[in-house]
Amino acid sequence: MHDFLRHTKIFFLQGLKEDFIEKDRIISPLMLAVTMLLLLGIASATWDKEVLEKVYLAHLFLPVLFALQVAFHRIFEGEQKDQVIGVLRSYSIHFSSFFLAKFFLACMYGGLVIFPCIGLGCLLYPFVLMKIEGLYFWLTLGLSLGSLSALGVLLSALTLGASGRSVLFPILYFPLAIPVVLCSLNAMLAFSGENSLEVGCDWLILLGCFFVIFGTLGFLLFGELMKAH
Amino acid sequence: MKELIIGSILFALQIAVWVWSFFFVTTEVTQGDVYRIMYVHVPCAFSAFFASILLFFFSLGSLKNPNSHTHLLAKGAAEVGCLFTVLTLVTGSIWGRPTWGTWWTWDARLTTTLILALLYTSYLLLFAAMPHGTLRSKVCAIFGLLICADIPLIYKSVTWWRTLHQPPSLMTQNGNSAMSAEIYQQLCLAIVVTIGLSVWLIFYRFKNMKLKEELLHLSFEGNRL
Repeated sequence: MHDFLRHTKIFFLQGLKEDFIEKDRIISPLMLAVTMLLLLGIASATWDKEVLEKVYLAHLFLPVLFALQVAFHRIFEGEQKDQVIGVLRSYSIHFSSFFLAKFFLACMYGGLVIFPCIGLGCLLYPFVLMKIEGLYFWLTLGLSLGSLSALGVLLSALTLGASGRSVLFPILYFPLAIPVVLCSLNAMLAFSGENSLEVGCDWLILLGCFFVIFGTLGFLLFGELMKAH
Repeated sequence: MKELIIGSILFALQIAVWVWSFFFVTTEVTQGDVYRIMYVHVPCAFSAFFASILLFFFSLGSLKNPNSHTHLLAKGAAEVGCLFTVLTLVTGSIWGRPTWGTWWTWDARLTTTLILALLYTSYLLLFAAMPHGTLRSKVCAIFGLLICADIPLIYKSVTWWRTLHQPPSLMTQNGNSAMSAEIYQQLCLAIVVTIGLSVWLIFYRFKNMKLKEELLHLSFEGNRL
């Protein structure tokens, strides 16, 4: 257990160091999300408030989803560039610790994209501030980010040896991400409404199931993937 | 030869079931003759789900033993599953036009079934993009397991969301069917025959792919010598 945590910490810090050298890996997804959100905000500036109250969540989710896809696709870029993955096989390390480190890095990048987008969303849609409150909203956000991160890291590892990876990754990622997004959106819509706590909790439980499924599959199978590569 | 005979029998049964469904079964009271497409649509949907269950088990087998040919069975299941999912969407669209007044709507069941079709297609693309070997077997097996996480969502979508698609009528929550006995029996027969046909298609496709791999292996060995 001690070795496992130590390996996780080493991989996490190494990945962080790599990505802060190549700042483009952090900045590109953020700029993409902010640009898309601004465009959506400008396009919907003249819409009725009733319509905006229904679509603002979709406006927030869409740029974040695309930006996260870009971030996850590049999560192993450092290791590929240095051809580290083949070398790692000769070391007696826990590959699950590698997955966990990448998962935390992915969550961190997701947070770096989501929080500025929420801030910008509060400026573009002023009523959002009143709706973003409470434990349930942040729990939904956390679970959806966790699910998408686990999925993104696993799919990124899956496609390491594939030709046309930049085209293949979004094709694999989006169909699997849509159920997570559907659950998150429905949960948040329920929590921001009145007397819908029970409905929102049902969606939250389903979202939790997806988090468990993707996280467990990633944790257990990542080692097999790395050994195969 | 044996497989061809079994396949011919299954195809003949399928055609017989369709002919009986379209021309001889009682007309439904509310929808009239339009409802008869149900005998194609519902069995195709069940076959698509069944193919995903087979994909799950073949993927597990392929992970356990990547050097076996189980990954070809999984690929066969994905191909047949994709075919039946597309047929489900097409027949559903044809049925929806006269009953709902539209070819397509972003309804829960339709959207989640479309996602399943996209997932099957993604699986086949992934299989084609990977180089031949144990890596491909493992990678596709893992993706196959991920696909199966979507199936409960599709099946339960009509009960979890308020949707245009009708709720479960083959077996409702109290265990009874919402259909008349004659329609129910005919539908069950159509489902069984279509699932049987899909299983035969999977295994026949597996046999073809296995032969192709063996030929490839032999030609590689011949070139090497």
